Amino acid sequence: MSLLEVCKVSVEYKTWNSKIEALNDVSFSLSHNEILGILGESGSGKSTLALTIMKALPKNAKVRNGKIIYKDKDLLNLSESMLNSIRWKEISIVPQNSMNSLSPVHKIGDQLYDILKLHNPSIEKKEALEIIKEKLTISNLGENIVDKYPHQLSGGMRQRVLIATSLLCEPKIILADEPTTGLDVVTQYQILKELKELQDKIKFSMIIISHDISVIVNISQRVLVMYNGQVVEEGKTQSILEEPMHPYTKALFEVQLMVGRIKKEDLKIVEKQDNKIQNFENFSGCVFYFRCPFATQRCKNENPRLTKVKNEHSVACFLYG
Amino acid sequence: MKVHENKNLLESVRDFWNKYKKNKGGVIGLYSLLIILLVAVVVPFLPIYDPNSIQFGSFMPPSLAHLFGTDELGRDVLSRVLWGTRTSLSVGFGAALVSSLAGIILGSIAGYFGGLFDEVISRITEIFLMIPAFFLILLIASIYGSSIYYVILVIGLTTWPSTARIIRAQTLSLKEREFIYAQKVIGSSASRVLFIHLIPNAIQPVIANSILQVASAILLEAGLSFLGLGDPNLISWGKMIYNGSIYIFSSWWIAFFPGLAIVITVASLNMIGDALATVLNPRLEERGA
Amino acid sequence: MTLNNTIIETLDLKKWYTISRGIIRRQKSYVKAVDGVSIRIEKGEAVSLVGESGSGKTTLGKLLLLLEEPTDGKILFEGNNIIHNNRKKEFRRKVQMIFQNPYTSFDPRLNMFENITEPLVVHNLVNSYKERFSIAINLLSKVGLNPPEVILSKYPHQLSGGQLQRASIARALSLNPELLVADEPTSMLDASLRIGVLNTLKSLQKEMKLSVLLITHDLAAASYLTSRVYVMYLGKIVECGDTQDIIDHPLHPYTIALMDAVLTTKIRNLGELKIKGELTPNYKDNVCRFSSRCPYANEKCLTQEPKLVELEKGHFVACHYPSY
Repeated sequence: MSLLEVCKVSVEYKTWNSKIEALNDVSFSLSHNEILGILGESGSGKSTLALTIMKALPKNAKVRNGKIIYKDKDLLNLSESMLNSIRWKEISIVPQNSMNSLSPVHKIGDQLYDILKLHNPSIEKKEALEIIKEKLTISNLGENIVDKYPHQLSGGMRQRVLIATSLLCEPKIILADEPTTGLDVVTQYQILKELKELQDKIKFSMIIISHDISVIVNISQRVLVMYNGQVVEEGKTQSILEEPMHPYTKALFEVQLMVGRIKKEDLKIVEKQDNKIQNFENFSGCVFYFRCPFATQRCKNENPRLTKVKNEHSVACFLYG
Repeated sequence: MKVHENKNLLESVRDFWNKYKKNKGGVIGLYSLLIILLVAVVVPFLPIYDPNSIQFGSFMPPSLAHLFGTDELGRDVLSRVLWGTRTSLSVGFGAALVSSLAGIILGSIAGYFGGLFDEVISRITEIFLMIPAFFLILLIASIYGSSIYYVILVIGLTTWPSTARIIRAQTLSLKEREFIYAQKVIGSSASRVLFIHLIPNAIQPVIANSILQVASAILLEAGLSFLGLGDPNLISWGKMIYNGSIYIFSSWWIAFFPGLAIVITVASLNMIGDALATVLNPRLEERGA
Repeated sequence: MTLNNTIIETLDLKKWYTISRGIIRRQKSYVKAVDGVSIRIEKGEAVSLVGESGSGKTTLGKLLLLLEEPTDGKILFEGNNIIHNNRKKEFRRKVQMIFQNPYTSFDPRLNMFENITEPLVVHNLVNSYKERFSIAINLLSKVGLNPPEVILSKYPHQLSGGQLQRASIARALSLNPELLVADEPTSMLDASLRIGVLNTLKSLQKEMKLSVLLITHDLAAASYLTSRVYVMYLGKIVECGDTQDIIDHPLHPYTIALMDAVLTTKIRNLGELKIKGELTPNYKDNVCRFSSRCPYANEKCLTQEPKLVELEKGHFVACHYPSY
């Protein structure tokens, strides 16, 4: 049985003279103790998706339709007070930018205590400190971090503080939005490894969002590939690795760099920049049409639906029926 | 989805206006300032009495013939208030211009070059911040006389430190941006970096501040004139209040109407300044897609 | 060492930042961002400088471009020391840079045409608007930005990171430089756009016989683009040599860890890296700076700082116990 169910969610942003569709009919589910990777480049709608689940969309965004079911409740219809009992306690987020996500003028311990107190008003200071220290320790940080300010920490340590923060109220689901972007290779490796170990140890479900396919495949059990606000491919990591189907996914695999001098052809398909994006306003075809080397007349007129091709592996492309 | 908006100048102006017009006070202030500016420009052509003519009776209360009444010498208060617009606005905008120029140049030099430049300019700024501007102006006006140009210059030169501070802070953060490094790498001279790339990018927060300075300069000029140190050859609201204050209990209109004019002008400028500060401050701006 | 073939060379270059603590008793301490670095780039050669953030690689890049003044040491450009030299204008034309953050690399108030051709104006290399325009079009097609006329009329905020980074290359090329320093040019880009920018750099480097210094933390990118690698750790070069040699046979434990940490689409068990903790700038004098993270550190490493020695031909390493 799935823990979180996202059904046909569409979100649009309004600017003063135009509407931009950020998510279009996105559906997926998340099981207990599963790590789901969401892969997409900037502008694919992956961050909007995280914000929608947390119901933290900016004011000019509107959920046009869809449901997000968690424990038989539709998160999109909950009142603010009901939501507050779910945020952090049931679903928490590890945000993208570790520099802006922490207050620069407060000690780490105090910041974590504030969050804990907010969701658990009756908690004793001493007990809170115990919990905070415990969470910091399992996130691979020393207990002395509580007395430090964010600027005294390295990028990797700040990211670990954010992971500890997300664990504070022992949530069932953790959303990690680009948790390793901007970090060095070594730190990125360590953080991913620690996240995976944590998930294994204390059992929670996790959605990890990234633009980097190597990050996604190494940590998640299932992968969702997003392009331009739509899910274009979904499947078990192993299955996608063995046979990526969507031309976009294929391209992402092909441009991977490895250590060693492997000759790479200039990949026109991913390179081609979306100058024509404005045409999307009255465009009803496939979202990948403008960059796809296999595009046909049909792709121009019709948007392929996500269809199951083999066991637990779906793709939205006419090349696969 | 990436938003590729084609923003040309016209559209960014429209964008700006769309944000600005959400601020009611700012819109009211802008319209009222536009009317005041219009008055200042067209006042010679208005069908009003000569402001210096003393052919009417003294102390006439407001009536249809003299909407604001007449003063102790029998001059029409309405036409004097309208002519006073010119003095107040030229002092206000003139002084703000002088102060902004001085502040921008000194502030950006301090911020960009740092080191000794910063040290010296910052100290000077602090000294000027410490001196009560009004008394310095009083002193200078009483020593060197009270031509309007002196008034403009003196007000301008005593109010620049706030602009300088804002620009210095902006410059300090901008000079670490890559595009400034890029300018150095391609070999641009320091003055080119400063005047073509740095200052134009740093200037936004100053605009709101400068508008507020126009208002405070108008008040300062009125204060000077009220103390009898204004330019004796010009019609000034401050001087009118000064003259009328003696008769405030018998003929209130002589001081009241110029006072009202100051209040309206300064209030409009403040409302515009506040609105601009809100619109131009990126941190207060709503975060979009 | 044949001077006439070397484009730039640093000799024992140092940049120490002073930190003073305490109000009454000022205590001075130093952050040795770059501490005695000697590197050399030949004409037409692509070299990379690899290290984590905090290793001093960006500072070294800034020193090479005279954006910072070195504490000590020499920078020889075509054989001449260029620190305190009056031939800076000429140097500025021959050495260009691409920055890490494409979004802040351009003046936001100018359109791309003005931004890209700014160097030509600064150096008085164009006589007419028409000439300036045709050079700009030419540059953009060189770096693969299409259609050039449209791109030129845009403002920086209207372009994507990948497009801006290409534009950044175009601006650097406008002066026909001899050396291009690229500071993490792909780290802020989506993974899918990285290869494109690297490919552009690679083909230009070959075509124009450019010398390139790629500053990066990603050994995969380094190995893809460059033929020689310097690995830097806490202000020192710890290993250098031919890219192929280093990849086939890394000698320093740090280099091994850097290679190990690169994730690819080949799934693997995320096991323990042979490197502990994080880079911390607190170390005593006369110790190996890597010893606090090194799995093999012993007595000798804590009492004696290893020197950079040539173990194999052209392959240098600064480690007491290389190639474990």
